[in-house]
Amino acid sequence: MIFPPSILRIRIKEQDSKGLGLCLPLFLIWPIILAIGILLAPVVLLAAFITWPKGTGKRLLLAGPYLFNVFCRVRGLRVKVKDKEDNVYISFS
Amino acid sequence: MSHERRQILEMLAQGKINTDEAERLLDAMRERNAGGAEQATTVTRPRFFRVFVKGEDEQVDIRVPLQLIRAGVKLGALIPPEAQAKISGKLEEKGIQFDLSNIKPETLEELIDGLSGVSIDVKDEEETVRVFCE
Repeated sequence: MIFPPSILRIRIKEQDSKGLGLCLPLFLIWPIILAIGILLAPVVLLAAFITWPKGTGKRLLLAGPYLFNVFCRVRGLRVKVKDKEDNVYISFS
Repeated sequence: MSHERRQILEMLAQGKINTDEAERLLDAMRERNAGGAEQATTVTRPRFFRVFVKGEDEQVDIRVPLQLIRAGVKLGALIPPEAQAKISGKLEEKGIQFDLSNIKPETLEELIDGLSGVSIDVKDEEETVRVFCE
């Protein structure tokens, strides 16, 4: 079972500034994503049914699950960039 | 024949254990060996692709989950061929020869398996570049 990332941590620090540290609870938007998915499902199904003969229907159907898969797999991504003046840290966990 | 297996058979021949006990011991040994092999394969499978660059004043450290690359390629495969051709054309204009349609899930697995063994380590007086999987 794969879960979407639950926390996004962002730290940005510039020279001569106190910096900014954010810890965003992504798990709070899980229900919103689920609701959007449920609301869009009938529209996507209808569009896929209409465009099926053209060959784009299958793509439309798979786009949602594949996008969600990418969102889930972001967990573990970490970017750290540091130079003399600035410091940026982004992490999904 | 392994040493343990020979020992069990010798004990059976000497009458120290009966056939049922020998069978149980051999089964236990087989299960343990299978578990060990499974553990070894899971341990060696890397989960992240890592790029680390350290200069005199700057440092970049990026860790990308390999599963994200897999998921991204799957999503990329949904791009219509006409759009893929346009993307490849634009990339070529910039001097990057990269055809999205060439990356398929089967070839990606080979690529990721190949990446698992890759370790690039370049170091000079001022900079260090490391590309590896962990």
